[in-house]
Amino acid sequence: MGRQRVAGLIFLSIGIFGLTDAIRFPWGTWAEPGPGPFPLAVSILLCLFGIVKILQKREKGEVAGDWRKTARDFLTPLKILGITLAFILVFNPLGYLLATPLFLFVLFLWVCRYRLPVAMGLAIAIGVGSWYFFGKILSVQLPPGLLNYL
Amino acid sequence: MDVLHSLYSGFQTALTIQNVYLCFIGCLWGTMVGVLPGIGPVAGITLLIPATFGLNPTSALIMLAGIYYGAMYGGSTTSILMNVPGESASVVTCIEGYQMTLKGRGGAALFISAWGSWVGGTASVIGVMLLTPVLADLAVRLGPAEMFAILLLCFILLASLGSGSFFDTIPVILIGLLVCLVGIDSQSGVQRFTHGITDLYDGIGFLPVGMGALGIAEVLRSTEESLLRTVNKVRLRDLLPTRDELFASLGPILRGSGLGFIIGLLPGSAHILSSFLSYTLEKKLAKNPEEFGTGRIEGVAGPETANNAASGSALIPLLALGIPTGNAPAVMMIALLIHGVRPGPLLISESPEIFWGLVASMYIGNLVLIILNLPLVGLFVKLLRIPFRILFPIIILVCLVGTFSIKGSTFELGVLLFFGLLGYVLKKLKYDVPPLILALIVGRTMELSFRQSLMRSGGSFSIFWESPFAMTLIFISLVMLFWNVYRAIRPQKATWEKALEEGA
Repeated sequence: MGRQRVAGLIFLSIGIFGLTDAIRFPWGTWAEPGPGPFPLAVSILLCLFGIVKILQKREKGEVAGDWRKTARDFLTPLKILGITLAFILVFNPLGYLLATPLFLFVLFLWVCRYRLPVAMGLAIAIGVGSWYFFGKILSVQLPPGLLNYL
Repeated sequence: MDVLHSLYSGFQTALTIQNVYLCFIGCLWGTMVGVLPGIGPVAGITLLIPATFGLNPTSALIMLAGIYYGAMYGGSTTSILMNVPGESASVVTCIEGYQMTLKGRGGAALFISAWGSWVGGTASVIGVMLLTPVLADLAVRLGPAEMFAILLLCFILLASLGSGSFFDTIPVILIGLLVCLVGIDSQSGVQRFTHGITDLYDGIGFLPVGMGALGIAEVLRSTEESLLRTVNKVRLRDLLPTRDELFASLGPILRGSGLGFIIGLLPGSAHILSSFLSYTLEKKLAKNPEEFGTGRIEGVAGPETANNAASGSALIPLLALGIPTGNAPAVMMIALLIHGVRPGPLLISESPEIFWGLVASMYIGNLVLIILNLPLVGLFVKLLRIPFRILFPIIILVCLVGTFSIKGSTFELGVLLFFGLLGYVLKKLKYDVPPLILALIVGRTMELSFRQSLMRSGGSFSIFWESPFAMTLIFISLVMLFWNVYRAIRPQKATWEKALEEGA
């Protein structure tokens, strides 16, 4: 599947998502336009562009991609996204000072392939250092989490 | 005289110890982030916006000006020393700058790049100082029909002149327009696309989208390559250029300043266009054009000057009209809005201390850069040696904390991650992401202008052609639109005609 077709599917999906909501917004009148026309027009245009992209022929010089290479390319970014999502979920309950070294440790060990002691050392150093920098120097309100009960 | 008097008061604002210190820190951080491989200057500016939280608007803007220029300059360092363009505009700098590095003249290339950037940046600040008040005066008289026409033309020009193709950029702009509509409609109170989620009532914030689509996406893209990249050791034999090199770079610097300033006023990837045009111009004017590609100083001086001049003049539409016409101005607008400063025609009249303080800080920022960057080039080279597999987790952490610090909400972190994924996928599919941010920023203004125009005219579309200004801009937009459609279908038509002829 060429890049334009994949892009077209994405545009069409977003367009349909917008359309299903936008048709329910009030239209108003021409003299007092409501909140409906603009999102409806944008959603329709997005759907049209999506359909055109899906129907578009493969570009000159574009060869069918090796799906194995494509899957390999996505592996590291998807790992990072998954770990970051897990971090976001535990961020408030655990608190910054516990969640961040854990997040960094998993990244350094699993994605960056550092050895265990190095990954642990880097995670603790950067985690605690960043807590001091953001929390104390920049006065960002970081969640205390479990440490709040100690 | 009025301008000089205002500039003097701007310097009085900017030249306090705190503000000079903030400008210095902004330049230093901006350059460091711009230098870092794996993250471009625009994403770098986005990452540093949270560092300005807690400052008053004037001080925050002064720091941002330093970050803006520093990040732009930092991108050229990786081009010259590593043959890795910090951003698209630095591609031409790679061509000549890296060749100079291989010959041991990397230091001279960095010096001329800094010197040219200073001249181009200063020239464009003079232009900002003189042109912005004039444009703002004109803009105050614009009504909603004119504003809608300007924004429509802006999007059409962005799609036509941007780095992606017209029909690749438009869908991305449309996604940005859809995202900007999320939230409670200010005119009717109707909830749009919120699905009962209270965090969405205020709409989707600019910063999580910007940080996600630019910062996180860029990091994800960079991690596809081996994380074990190392920087080649480079000898910086002499930092100072020879007399011949200095003399040879004078003409390109002067030409680059003028060319960059004019191109920078256009929407789209003006800084990329300006550096490429400058390179082409210098090659055409050179006595020995065949030597280009082997390390000619003119090929560094002209493009880098033009790039910085364009970056400066790109702020004119932003400050005078409130319309960011490029990637970096879009990010600057996010920063200004977060600090409660609304760029536009009323900025100079309502908040003159902010505008003139910003102009003065741009002069100071340019000067600080040239004083700071040349002696510290050794430090920046050391920065390049930090392994990317240590850097990228820190970058992600900065994005997360920066986003969290706005509202203290983990929902915003989810938005950041979502747009990080979307930005990454769009980049993978070779789509340009910054137009999405631009559309997000000005989309509501565009819708509001359209609705207000119809309300004023009682529902008649004639309001758009009764105004000569609006009619002219809409006409130009339509011409450009049809031109792009024609260009897109013409090859197919030729193939069809050829097939018909062969059949006959």
